[in-house]
This record gives sequence, C-alpha cells and structure tokens, in this order.
Amino acid sequence: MRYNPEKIAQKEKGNRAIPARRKDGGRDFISQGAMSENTYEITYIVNSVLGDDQINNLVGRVAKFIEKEGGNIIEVDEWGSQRLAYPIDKKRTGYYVNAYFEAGGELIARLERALTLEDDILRFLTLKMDAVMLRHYEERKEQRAREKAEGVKESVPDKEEQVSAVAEQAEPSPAPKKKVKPEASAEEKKVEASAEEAKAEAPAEDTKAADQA
Amino acid sequence: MTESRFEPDQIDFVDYKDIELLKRYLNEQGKILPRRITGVPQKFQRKLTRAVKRARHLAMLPFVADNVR
Repeated sequence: MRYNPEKIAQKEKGNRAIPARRKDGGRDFISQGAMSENTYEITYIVNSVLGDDQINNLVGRVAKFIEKEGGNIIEVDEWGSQRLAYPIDKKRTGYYVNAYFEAGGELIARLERALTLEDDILRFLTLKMDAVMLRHYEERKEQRAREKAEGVKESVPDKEEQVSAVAEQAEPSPAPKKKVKPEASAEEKKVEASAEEAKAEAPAEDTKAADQA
Repeated sequence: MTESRFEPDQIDFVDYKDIELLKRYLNEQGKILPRRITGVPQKFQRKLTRAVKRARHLAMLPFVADNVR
C-alpha cells in the first residue's frame, strides 16, 4: 500500500477514541482481589421446559457454586427464553443466562464439569475476558445505562420491587431483563447498506465456487 | 469492491452476543461471507469468524439455515 499521510492521521485519530490500554487491564470496576484472579464471562442455556422456579433454582445453584468455590459474581443477566437457531436435545427454545464473575483459573474446570453433569443445562460457553473484552463490557454497560436513563423514564422500579409487585398480582413470572440493543448509528446503517449489496453479490459467487468444486 | 470500512475501525472486540451485527456477514444459508465479498480487514474478519462460531455454539446463529435443511 502506498504511503498516505492523511489516512495514517485518520487512523491515529480513530485510535485516540479508545482508552489507552492500562497495566491493570482497566479493572477498576472490579473489587481488588488476589492477583491470580481472572474475569470470566459465561453464557449457558437452561432447558426452558422447566418451570420458572426450577429455572431460578438452577440459576441460583450455578451462582452459588461459583461463590462457594471462591469466585466472585459481578453480574447475572437472564435473557429469558429464546428460540434456538437449531434444536438441541430436541428442544427448540432455551432459557439464556449470561453471567460475569471473577475467579481463579482452577475453578473453570470444576465449573464446566458441574455444568456438563447438569442435565438441564443444554449448552454453555465460558470465556476468559482479556483487557479488550473488559473494555467492551464496560462500554456496553455504560451504553445500556445511558439508554435506560434516556428511554424508559416512566415507572421502572428497581428489580426487587418489580418482583414483589408481580408476586402480589400473582402474575406468571417476573419478566426477564431484556438486553437493549445498542442503537444503530448513522455510520452503521451505511455499512448495513453496503453489506446488503455484498449479499446480493453473494449467491452468484457461491454458485461459481460450487461449480469449481 | 465493497467498502465497509467504518465498522472495523470502531469495533475492537466483536461480541458473539451481537447477532444483528454478525448476521450482516452471513449469507442466507448461514455461511460466513468470505473476505473478498465483505471487504473488511483480515483482522476484523478473524474476529468476526470467531464471534460467529461462538454464537453458533450457543444456538444464537444456525450452523445451517432452516430453509436449507
């Protein structure tokens, strides 16, 4: 590629928007624990055929397991029942739970074994969060908080109140926290348009490739 | 060439949870579009691929789209 000072300047400008990488990996939002602790993200799918209390029980059990084994839970976010993109164990829906926690590395093997043995957990994915992911997590959290502050100002009591209110009204179950999708910026939309163009090209390309194969 | 030059500059971690974004880089069959079509940098394509595979594991994206099966 030819040297293009303008482009390089632009790139540098773009980079400045990202907070500089810090030695501690931007961990200031986490309580200062032992140095060997990592932050992990886990998403698992619970069998949604179970009753609500059974699901809550299971989610609580997983959280308790992490705490008992020396982990420290940062956030548990229940996405609720969602349709699976393909059936798992002949089930078409699953109850998604997304959680973040701090723990030492030895915990993960034990946790994953426990989850595998649990019949009502269909799938799970554990990820160790590096500095980039932590930053992304924080940005996402900020964005969600901002959207919440802007958008839903009408009566949104905090979670505990909501639960008790629901219990009083004897409604089926507290609505699971829904993750708010970040709003598409103008630029994103532009990209979307070009992606669609690409899609239009795709089938032709595909058949060509298939022919060659 | 397609030019989706904006996105990769803004995103330094492609989240497997952001399926709306990931879907833009899949064809109708649920296959990941090759880089020659998406036109994104190699680095971004790799992040994308990893995120798509994670999302597939969690059944948030199909391995094979329903209409093909």
